Amino acid sequence: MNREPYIEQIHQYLSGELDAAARKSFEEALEKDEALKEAFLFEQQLLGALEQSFDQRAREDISQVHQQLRAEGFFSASRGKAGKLSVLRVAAAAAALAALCAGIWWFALRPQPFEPQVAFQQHFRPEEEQAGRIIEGLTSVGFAPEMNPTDSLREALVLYRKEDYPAAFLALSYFLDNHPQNDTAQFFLALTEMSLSNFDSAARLLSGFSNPGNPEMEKEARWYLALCFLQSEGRREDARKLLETLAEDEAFGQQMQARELLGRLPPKD
Amino acid sequence: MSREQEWLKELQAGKREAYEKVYRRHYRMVESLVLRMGGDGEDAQDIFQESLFALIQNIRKPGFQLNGKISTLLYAIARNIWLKKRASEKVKAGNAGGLAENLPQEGSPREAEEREALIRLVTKSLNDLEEDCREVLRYSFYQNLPQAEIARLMGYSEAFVKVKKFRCLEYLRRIVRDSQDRTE
Repeated sequence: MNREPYIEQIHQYLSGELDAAARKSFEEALEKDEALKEAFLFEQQLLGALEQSFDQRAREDISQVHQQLRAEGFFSASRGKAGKLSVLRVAAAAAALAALCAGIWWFALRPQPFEPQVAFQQHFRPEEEQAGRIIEGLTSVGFAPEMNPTDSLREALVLYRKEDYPAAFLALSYFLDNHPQNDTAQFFLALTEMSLSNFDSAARLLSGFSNPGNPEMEKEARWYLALCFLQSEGRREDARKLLETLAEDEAFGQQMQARELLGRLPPKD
Repeated sequence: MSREQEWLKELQAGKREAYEKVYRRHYRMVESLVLRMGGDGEDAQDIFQESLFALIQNIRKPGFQLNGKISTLLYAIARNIWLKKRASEKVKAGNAGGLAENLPQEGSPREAEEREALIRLVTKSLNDLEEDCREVLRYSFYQNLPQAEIARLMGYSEAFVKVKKFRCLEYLRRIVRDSQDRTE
């Protein structure tokens, strides 16, 4: 049987390209025309098998890339189970080990080459506790017919705290469209972008960040900007300048981290 | 075209280098997510592989539009996969013995066997095809790329792509028909 005349129409039907009227008329023809029906079932099977076969290939390609990266040691730089521990437990354990490790490191081990991604993982904290404090401070007026700005910001920060960053991104962006001067929303949108590895966008938000009423948040913004710069090509010296200022600032809560990171940066070219 | 759109095109074309780029740029993001949500390093690697595959499935849908960034989409996929995985583990633990065992299977065992045999035959036949043919079939029926884009990627004219697509698919058709005739 010559199926050629049917093929194009069948493919259009299967790929959803036909409009509603053409689709209906094709389905009616399928009911009446045995040859068309036979050709349709054959093409459906063939294209289905083709799709499954390419699915397998895509999985194999991903698996090969995965194995190649494993062989390179790409995954061994991970934090293992550390994420399961609370921040306090990590901090306590880190403090207890710090003195011992520092001695061993200083006398026995050479410094590891600087890896921006690993440095980011070690130093980036999404500030969920700070988000929680802000959420508690945002008092709802409750039962208002429309959502007010306080409710909108609270909802966005709740999404952020739940680590639903894509949803938080939308909610914070929407809020900022209507309240472009809100520094809290701007700060957390930048952290959301960082959590989603969008460092250039985060850096743009943090570069213009200013909050005269909350100098600590301003310093934190500069700290996170430095972390963003370290992830971007050609911005390492900008990061170094920021870190140098923060490392000298006795009033900055993360002064020690800034010093440590600065110490690990390779020397200027 | 923005960098993000260029990268999307590479992924849509199913390039292995593009997969590697996703790993290098975004693995740590997904790893952090999984670790924070109670998983371990092995979970993170499994979730990332599943998420990358799901991302590829998403972006090859006809009419797919990227609203935002690839990393945002990947994060949302990874988070969903992880939450579903956790939920299904809880259901399994709660059912001790498993409802899953009683889930209806799609089609009869014989139909499933026939489907598997057809996929094996198509996979083998694809391997026998010349590289160009395989590519044009993949771009057309898997990546769902428009003919003009396929022509651009392969350096051919659109008319040539159309003919090539028809011939390559016809070759597969013949093999499948011959095999079906033999079994009947």
